[in-house]
Amino acid sequence: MEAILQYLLTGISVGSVYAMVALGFYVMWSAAKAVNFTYGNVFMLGGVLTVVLVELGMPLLVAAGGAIAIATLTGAVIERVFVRPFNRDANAIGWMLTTIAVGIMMESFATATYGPLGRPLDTPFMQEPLRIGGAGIYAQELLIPVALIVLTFGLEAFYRRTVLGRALRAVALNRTAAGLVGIDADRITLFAFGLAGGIGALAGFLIAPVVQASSTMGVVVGLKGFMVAIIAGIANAKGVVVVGILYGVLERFIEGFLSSAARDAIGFTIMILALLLFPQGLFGRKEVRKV
Amino acid sequence: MTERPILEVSGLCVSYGRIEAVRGVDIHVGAGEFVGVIGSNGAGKTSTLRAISGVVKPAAGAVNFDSSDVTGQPSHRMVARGLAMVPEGRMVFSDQSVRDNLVLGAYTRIKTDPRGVDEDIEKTIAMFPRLGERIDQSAGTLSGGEQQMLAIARGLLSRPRLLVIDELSLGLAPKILDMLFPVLIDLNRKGLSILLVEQMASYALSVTHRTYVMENGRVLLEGKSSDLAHDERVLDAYLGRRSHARG
Amino acid sequence: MNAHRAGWLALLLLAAIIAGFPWYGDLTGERFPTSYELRLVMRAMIFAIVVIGLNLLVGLAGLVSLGQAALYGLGAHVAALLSLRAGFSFAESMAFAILIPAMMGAVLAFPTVRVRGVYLAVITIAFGLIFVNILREWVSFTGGASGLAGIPRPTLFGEPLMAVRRTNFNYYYLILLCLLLAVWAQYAITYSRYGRAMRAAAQSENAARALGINVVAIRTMAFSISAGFAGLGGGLFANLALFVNYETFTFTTSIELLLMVILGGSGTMAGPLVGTTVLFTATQFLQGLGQWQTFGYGLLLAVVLFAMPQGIVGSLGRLPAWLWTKPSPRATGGWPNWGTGLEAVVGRSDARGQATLLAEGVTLRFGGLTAVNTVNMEVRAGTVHALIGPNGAGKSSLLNVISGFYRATEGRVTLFGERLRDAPPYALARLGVARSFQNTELFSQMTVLENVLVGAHPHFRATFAETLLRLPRFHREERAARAEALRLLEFVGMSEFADEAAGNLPFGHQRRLEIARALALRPKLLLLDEPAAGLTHGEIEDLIALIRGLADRGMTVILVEHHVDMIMAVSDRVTVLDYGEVIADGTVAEVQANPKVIEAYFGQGATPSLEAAK
Repeated sequence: MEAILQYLLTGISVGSVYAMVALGFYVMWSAAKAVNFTYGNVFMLGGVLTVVLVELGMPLLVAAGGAIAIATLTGAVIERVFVRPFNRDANAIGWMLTTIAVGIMMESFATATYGPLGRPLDTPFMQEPLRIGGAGIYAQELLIPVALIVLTFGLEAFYRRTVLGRALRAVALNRTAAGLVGIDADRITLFAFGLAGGIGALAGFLIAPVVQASSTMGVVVGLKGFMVAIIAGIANAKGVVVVGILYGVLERFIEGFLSSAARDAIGFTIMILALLLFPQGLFGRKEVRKV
Repeated sequence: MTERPILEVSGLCVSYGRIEAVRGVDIHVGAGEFVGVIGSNGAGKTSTLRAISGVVKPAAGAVNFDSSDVTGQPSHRMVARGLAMVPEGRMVFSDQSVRDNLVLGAYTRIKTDPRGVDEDIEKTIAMFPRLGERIDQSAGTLSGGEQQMLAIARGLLSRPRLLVIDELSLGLAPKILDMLFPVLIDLNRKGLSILLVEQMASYALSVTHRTYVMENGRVLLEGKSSDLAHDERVLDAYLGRRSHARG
Repeated sequence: MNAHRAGWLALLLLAAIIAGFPWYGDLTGERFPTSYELRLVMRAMIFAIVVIGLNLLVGLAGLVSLGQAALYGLGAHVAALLSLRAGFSFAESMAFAILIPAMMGAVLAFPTVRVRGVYLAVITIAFGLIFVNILREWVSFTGGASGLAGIPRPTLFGEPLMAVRRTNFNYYYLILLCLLLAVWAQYAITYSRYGRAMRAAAQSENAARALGINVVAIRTMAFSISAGFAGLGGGLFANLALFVNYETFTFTTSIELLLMVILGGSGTMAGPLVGTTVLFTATQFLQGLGQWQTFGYGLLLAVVLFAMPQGIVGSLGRLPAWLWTKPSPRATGGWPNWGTGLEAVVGRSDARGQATLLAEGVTLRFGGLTAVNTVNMEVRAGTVHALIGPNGAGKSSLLNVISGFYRATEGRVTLFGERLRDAPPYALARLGVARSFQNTELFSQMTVLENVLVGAHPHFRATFAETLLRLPRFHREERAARAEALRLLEFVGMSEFADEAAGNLPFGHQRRLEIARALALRPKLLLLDEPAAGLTHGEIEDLIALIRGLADRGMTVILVEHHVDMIMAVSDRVTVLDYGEVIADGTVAEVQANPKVIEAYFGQGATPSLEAAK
């Protein structure tokens, strides 16, 4: 019983990270029908840059703010330079390859300069684990789901209530039509990638104290985040969050009851199967195939 | 017409790859004029409109709107300058409510003039009461005719001086058209310049002042609509030998 | 043709250079190449084999695999395990090294039934990660990080296969032979109905299905062939290195393989060889950069994508056209041209008067919406049957039920006297149902002639082996199909455009091409979905002549149209739909006089005069 609670709590925590990353994919995808395929490296920036800035003597929150700002900028630059020129045709996959190229560069640059090893990040929430019904968990780990909830509702309100959010949805639906009512679709897309960059970096910063910030921390999380987004039906923010958390919990249960070595093999297999059973995603709207 | 035309297009060429869709088109729309462009679908009408409204960049030629050169300006800038386009196939934002569609139509001025936008929304609802009945419904649930109304209303909310309409009749039953055309005529009477691209020549010729007939990327004929309606060449090429009876 | 010949010459030259390379030192007296360099070239050749396979998948079938290294690794591990643990001979283990990945490829192709593009990319990445995860963790079977060492030296016909410069390097030539066979296979597949079907399925899935191509099967085939190549490469690699572990087959290798395809020019014949050569050479140089090697790799990928997105071969291939050919206005012939040789096209008809199509109580619902409501309809052989009605009346939906794209919720459809239960579009196409699409669905990057040839896809009988070996039946059928395709182009007056990319055609020509392509299927029943939309009145007159001519020669035509004039001029019978239901059915005159039709179609009472509003 205690073990189950333990897996559940840590699962929700790590799942919230996947969910945040998946939300970032959702934001990018809805604006551009393309994503930064190696978005995991923007997530990595959030953790690594915070550590670097703290080591330079900045207070934690200032350092985190700086890291998020830089990641936001990076997300926007990636959109402008590597996604936009390669996303002209409807089924283009050029952006997938260019963003993979950027990802390779970002990760190897980080490894070459920051070093291949992870470094700790001290926060006040990592001092003493909290005891909840026999399960031990750090406050930092509980902070992540809280941040996720705030973020989800914030995004929802933004998309529904603000003119900019509505413009984003208009761009997502039909760029030409958006242009014809005066919306600069390119600028909106740039904004979306910047927003996603910030979200990713926030997730990276939040998890860094728990897992240590390293140059390779983003690759697999990015991929899992993307799979989560796709399985949820990438056009549905709430679904993305639910599936992200579920996947985190599932992982912890596999680790706990089966084998930690086979965690990813089993987890990915389940995700592939889910995608085959629900090709539109679990929460995606079924589209009538147009003939 | 002594005033300078609100829209002047000269030598316009549009290419897609190696295919030239429009090859040297000259068109103008005077202030307050209702101008039609007819011709079959491959004739280059839509490409001409897309170049005028900034959806595509022309390969050559110049577009002059409201006395300034706007050649190659993207569509969102053209809206801000006072040219709104109702695109082929309506392109309403189907996942948003009718009201949100209208608000987005006013995207360029919502920040500076929110009250004016509210008033204009009321006006367009008075013009198309059907939209008022469905104001909170999502636009995707509207019928084809209602979507066309919404697309026109959305275009009007940017307070354009020139409204460009592409294929108004596409996929719409004649009885809906009989409802939409009077609205356009009325808008034009109140001073709005309109450029209408229409495949159904009989409609365009009966509502516009002046009409261009396009074929093969060029302007074949130009003249008063009432004259062209009886021009043998138009009838031969577009209306067929038989009279184009409706109903 | 000349380009083809030049290509083969270049390949011959390349083969000669590779064959002569080990002997370079004997000519110049240098100690070069050593066994080390020989092995490098062998590894490059192995890569090229894998890349050729991936090129078929990416370049023809339009499916991107980011897990190809896992299939490559699967081949390597199958070969290694079988010779290590089961004592299989080289030939036996190689056969399985190809076969098992090919089967795995077929399994992996399953997702393509449902997902493509970026979704498929993610699935293939996940597959690659799972593969590596298993290799790493299943230590008792795969050796984990220490891998499988001590693979016995392979022998073939009693000869040990060696790769040592000073004694024996016969394995070098075996790999070269495999590479040349792979190049041949790539050529033979690309320029055949299989290659055309793969490209067709990539460029317009719907049109491919409507032309009798089983898209699922053709994609499975592409995946399977591509995986077989990867397995072949893997098997050759295991027997060269005599050691395998998972580190050779990670995601990075998958990227590297894909990069070789893109760099060379995906879908081109020479692309894989050029891409592999360039990237493999570059990698040797980058190895000196230490930590920055990977960075250089990413940079290179980015630079290639920016500088030449078509790849080296693709970009060079465009150069001549760009330099010398100017767009020249070409004459379109009149159409239809009822020349000789079209008998085969229209010769498959049912006996006149028979019911070609019988729809009984056909209902189609999407969620809560009833698009087609208990429709009964009978279409007789050799007639033109029009389907009209206001927009949204369900005409196109009904057409999609008849051609198998939608599955009727209720009711039954009988075609050519056979009751059909959920037959997919490609099966109906093979029975003789051809169709056009409302918004024309051409294979835009294929030539006009190739588009028509795809239409002939179901008529080929030559097997895959015959195609691969270019046996007489293949040549005979290909020649016949080409001749018929040219006749059909003549028929629609487009002979001059045969080599133009279909996507470059003006709209009216696209419509004509689509009809020619549908006719290549030699249909008994032709479904036309708003064929007149976008045509000039002159062209519509021609279209009327074409439809009438086809029907007079025995073909049955179902026509969905808005143009009232055209319907009245061409139809034998008219069915009128409104809100998914049949409201009238009869001859043109009967329908015209039917008050229900007048109300539904033309509005209540007299049309308000617009002149008055003006």
